[in-house]
Amino acid sequence: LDPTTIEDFVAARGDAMLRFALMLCGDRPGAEDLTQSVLARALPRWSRIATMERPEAYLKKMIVNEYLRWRRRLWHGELPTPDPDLASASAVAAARLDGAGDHASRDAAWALLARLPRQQRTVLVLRYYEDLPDAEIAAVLGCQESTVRSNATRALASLRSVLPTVERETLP
Amino acid sequence: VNELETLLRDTFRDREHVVAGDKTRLLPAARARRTRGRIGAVGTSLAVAALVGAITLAVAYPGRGWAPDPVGPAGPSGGGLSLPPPPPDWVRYSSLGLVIAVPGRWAINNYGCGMDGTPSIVRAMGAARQCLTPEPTTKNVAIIGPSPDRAYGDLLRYRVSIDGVPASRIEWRLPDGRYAGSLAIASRQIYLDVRTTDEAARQTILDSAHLVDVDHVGCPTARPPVTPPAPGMAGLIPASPTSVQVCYYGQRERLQASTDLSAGDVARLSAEIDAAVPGRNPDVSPDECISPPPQPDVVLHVNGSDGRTTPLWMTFADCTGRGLDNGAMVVRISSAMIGAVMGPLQTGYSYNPVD
Repeated sequence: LDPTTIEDFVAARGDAMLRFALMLCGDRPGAEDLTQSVLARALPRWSRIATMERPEAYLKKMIVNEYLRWRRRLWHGELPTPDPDLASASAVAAARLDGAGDHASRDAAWALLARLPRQQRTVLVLRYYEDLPDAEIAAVLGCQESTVRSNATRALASLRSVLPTVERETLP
Repeated sequence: VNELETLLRDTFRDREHVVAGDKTRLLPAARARRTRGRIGAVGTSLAVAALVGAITLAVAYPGRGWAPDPVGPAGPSGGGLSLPPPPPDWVRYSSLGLVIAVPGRWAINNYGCGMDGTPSIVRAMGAARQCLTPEPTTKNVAIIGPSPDRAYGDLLRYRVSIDGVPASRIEWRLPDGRYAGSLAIASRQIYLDVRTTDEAARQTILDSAHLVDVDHVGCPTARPPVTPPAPGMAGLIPASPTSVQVCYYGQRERLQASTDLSAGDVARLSAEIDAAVPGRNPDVSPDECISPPPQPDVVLHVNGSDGRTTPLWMTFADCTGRGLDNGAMVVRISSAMIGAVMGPLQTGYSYNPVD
């Protein structure tokens, strides 16, 4: 793939960009907003971006940066409720009780991801969705590898503290 | 940790479909955003320049002050809520003051005892046979009711606003693979539950929800009081009714269901009314039912060829006060008359045809 125009690039990789944004911000309107925002900034510089070795990686880095400094806009109208018990043990218990299985455990995990700090969620997305090694994650985030590892450890510990039952009982 | 990592990978992959096919909007939206950004930057520059100039003038001529804006701010637009049109081949239904749209091929009240897999809008079930029929796992359904259809536990809720009224919205996936969603407008005791096999359908149904004081058919959400007919009204209804809207309240204070009668039903109803015996129906023996103060079950809006609308109040579920009246005249109701009105609503009802 050697896209020469941004139209070609979006036609080929637009879905991948959206999916990546979705994993970061968690909802479709937010994913569209994030991706559109980055493309709007990339438009005037596309001739330079297109000559890069990996334009997609560059745009994904822009998405990460945008996400980390992003303030959810009021016009979205939809904000997760700040219920501290949200998607916690009772959700997991409910998932088990109604035989929800895989769907429910993934729904519970998705809900828990929304409660993580952005830096931690970003590390998990880059590590487990993009399958990047910690060294590359550190390069994307502009931090030390040790910082990546500590963020990942804290994020996994947070998830594990609520999800152990799911792991044991509903995973295939 | 390995299991948790597997779960995370599966969770991410499981959500990929959420944005499938959305890329076509990306570039046009990004270009529009960039254009808006340029206009905004120019506008901001002009505004700053204007402000600096105005402050300079105000300092130079301190006695003048700011002239009042000759045109006041726009007030709220008049008239009722203008609903956006539903998608092609979709139709609207309302209950309790909530209007939603569902695909036109969906059935009405195909739910509960004896239900099958036919997609259905469910509202104002009314009197129904009681038995346990498991909901088919491929059933598409949208349910409007005064309480939640199911308990949601701690699923992630989004605070939303529906026509200015706070509500909460939940979207999740059922174990059978269907897409589930709910809207809870607790302050008005209105709940919408949606379960579909198609994610886009769930989104469209949830997005179509509007709160109204008068629904798309023309029925008020709050039960209207019985009022005298307009002066000059000779009979119970106009001589040549062209259309009839049915507003069903049952024994409640909020609109339960509504519909426009077809031309055939209008003709049948008109013939039944023309043949009706003057006066109220005989009361049912008090031994046979608990009789609360009679309330009209249905309000009919009968539109004549002269353009005038005549309201009629139909009372049939009570033991007393039964009949069809226009606020001045009353005729007896019959099973056929009730059937012509309640049949199209597909809402269960009770009527004791004692003479």
